Amino acid sequence: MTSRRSFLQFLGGLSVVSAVRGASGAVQYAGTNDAIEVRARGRVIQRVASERPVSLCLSGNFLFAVNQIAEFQGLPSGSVESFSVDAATGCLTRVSRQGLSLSATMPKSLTVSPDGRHLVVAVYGGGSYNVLPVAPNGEIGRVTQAVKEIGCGKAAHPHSVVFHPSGRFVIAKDMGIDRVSVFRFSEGRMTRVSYQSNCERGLLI
Amino acid sequence: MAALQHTIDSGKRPTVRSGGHCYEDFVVNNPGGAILDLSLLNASHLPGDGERYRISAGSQLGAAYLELYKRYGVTMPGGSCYTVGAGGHICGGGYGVLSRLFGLTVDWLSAVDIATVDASGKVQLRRVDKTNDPLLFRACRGGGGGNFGVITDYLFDSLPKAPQEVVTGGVSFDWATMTEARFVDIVLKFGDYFETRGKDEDTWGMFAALGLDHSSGGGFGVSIQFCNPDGTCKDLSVANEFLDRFQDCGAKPQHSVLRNGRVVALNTTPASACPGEHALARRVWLDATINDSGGDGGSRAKYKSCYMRENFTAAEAKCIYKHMKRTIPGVDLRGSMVAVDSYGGAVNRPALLKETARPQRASVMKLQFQSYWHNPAYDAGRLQWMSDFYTDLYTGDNVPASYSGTPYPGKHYEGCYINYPDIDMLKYPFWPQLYYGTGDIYPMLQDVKQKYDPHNIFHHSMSVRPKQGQA
Repeated sequence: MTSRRSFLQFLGGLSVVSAVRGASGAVQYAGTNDAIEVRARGRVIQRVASERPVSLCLSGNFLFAVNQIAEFQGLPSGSVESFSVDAATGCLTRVSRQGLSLSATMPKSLTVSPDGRHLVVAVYGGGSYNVLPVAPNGEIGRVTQAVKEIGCGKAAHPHSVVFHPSGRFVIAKDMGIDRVSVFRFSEGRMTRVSYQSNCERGLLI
Repeated sequence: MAALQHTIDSGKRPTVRSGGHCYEDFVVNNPGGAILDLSLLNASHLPGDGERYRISAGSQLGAAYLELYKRYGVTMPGGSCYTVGAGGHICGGGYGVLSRLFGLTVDWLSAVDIATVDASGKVQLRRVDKTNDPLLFRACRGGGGGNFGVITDYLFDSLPKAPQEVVTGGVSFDWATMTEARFVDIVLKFGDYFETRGKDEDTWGMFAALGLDHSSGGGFGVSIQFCNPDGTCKDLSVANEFLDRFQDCGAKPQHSVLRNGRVVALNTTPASACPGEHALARRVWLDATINDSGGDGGSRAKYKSCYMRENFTAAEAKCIYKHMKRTIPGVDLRGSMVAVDSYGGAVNRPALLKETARPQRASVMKLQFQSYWHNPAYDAGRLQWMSDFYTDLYTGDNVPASYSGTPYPGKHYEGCYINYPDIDMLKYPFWPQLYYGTGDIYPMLQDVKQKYDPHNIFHHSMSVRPKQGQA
């Protein structure tokens, strides 16, 4: 396995993930409105069709993307995608696309557990988080948990989410109510450890 | 409502189940969420109810009919399937065998007890009626289940007096000797009646179903339940006159009943039908209502629906014939049908359009496409048969091209019934107009969603969508 480092940045609703590769040099993945571009040495070497991939995440040999859309297959939800990454070139091959839970519209951010077995998605529009399992072949399974946020009189808009390197916690930021939430993550389930949704308790960490 | 509050506080999605008869997966497809089961919530009268009738959400329709009849001698004009729960059935309209005589169940509704979740996540118990939260009340009169909160009880200031007795009967036809011309004749004779004579008030006590079964099933038939407007069977001329229409169509008399919403033939009697002397079985109304309405359950099924404002065209009847004769290699299509139910009568009072959330107030027939099977290997073929049939039937001169494949409300059709939900319709961006009409009802429901369920806590595949830009 090549040593790599990934980071996330937001550029006007688009997303970029860079992987520093030993042999082929740096490869960069960039989300546009309708595609994910694979860039190397300053030029686009592959374009894979996608729908508003606003957040990208590399994990092992896979790239995951969240599609910021309000409707998927006729239902009110966003979706997530997975691609396998060619070890030599960094090029992508689609593995799967999976819808989020009902009402989970306009998702904004995703994070992969350090063991690569789960995705957590921050759902801006629907005001919730989704947990989805990932199979060893990179295939994303159906949503196993949806956590609905109730704003403090205003709507919740979870905006970004990241796994703690231990894999035992998920840290999330909500733009709707200006709060950071911490969830314990155990056996594929999120349980809130700080900030109760009834607004009466503050941050406990 | 502690259970609902707990569900909200723990971030889970609640879905609500009263009878569990939803035609789609709206209640049970809730991974990691909480199903609030109301089936034990079946109080029929509480202190303080006074003269009001109470139907709790968990009541099964059959039990409710029994209770209303035995305690008070009244009934509600709801559905014919005993084990359907009142919770979802009534708020979607509550149509049934007595609807031509008495209207929809929501037409009689006076108040609803409902738990909603406010902007701060707190559960609010409300009694809504024409003065308190009037729009939410209106939304509960036909908007459909799983949209705004947890309905616990329905209250009625008055309900219609139950009929004393009814007659049931019908005629049947063999597929073996059926021709397209005769089939078209039968279908048009049925539809013509409800477009013309069926609008006269003396016929409103008649419910008729033309059960068009796929030809692999052997036969199909017309079944009726009838009573005079006064709830007796003193004068059977209307029933006989109706069945006489099918005299020269090769009709055979049959005793039939409605079971689980489907027409079931009992023992047939004489070999041919004589005009004016049909084999009508005279029965106590309660017996006809309670004892024939069991559901076997457990089967796989798919449904679609359509309201019709006027008779079929010959082209439509031919299209139905074609699909009833269609075979799909390797797929058993027995138990696939379209039941054409009589509609109209007391339902079609225009004033109710503004009071309730049921827009279909001008139709004379309501179609229920049904298919029942057990073998999962037939899933794809069964769904294909129904989808092809439906798309074919609703493509053509009666539907503008932009709404092709659907019974879009217009001169000929009046959309679909939300209590027969069909997620195939979601592929059309105008699906809300199919179910809620092109008037003010759907915008009103979206306003109610925004006000009473600002977090869209209560949702399913076909729930009322938050307005654009909202959660």
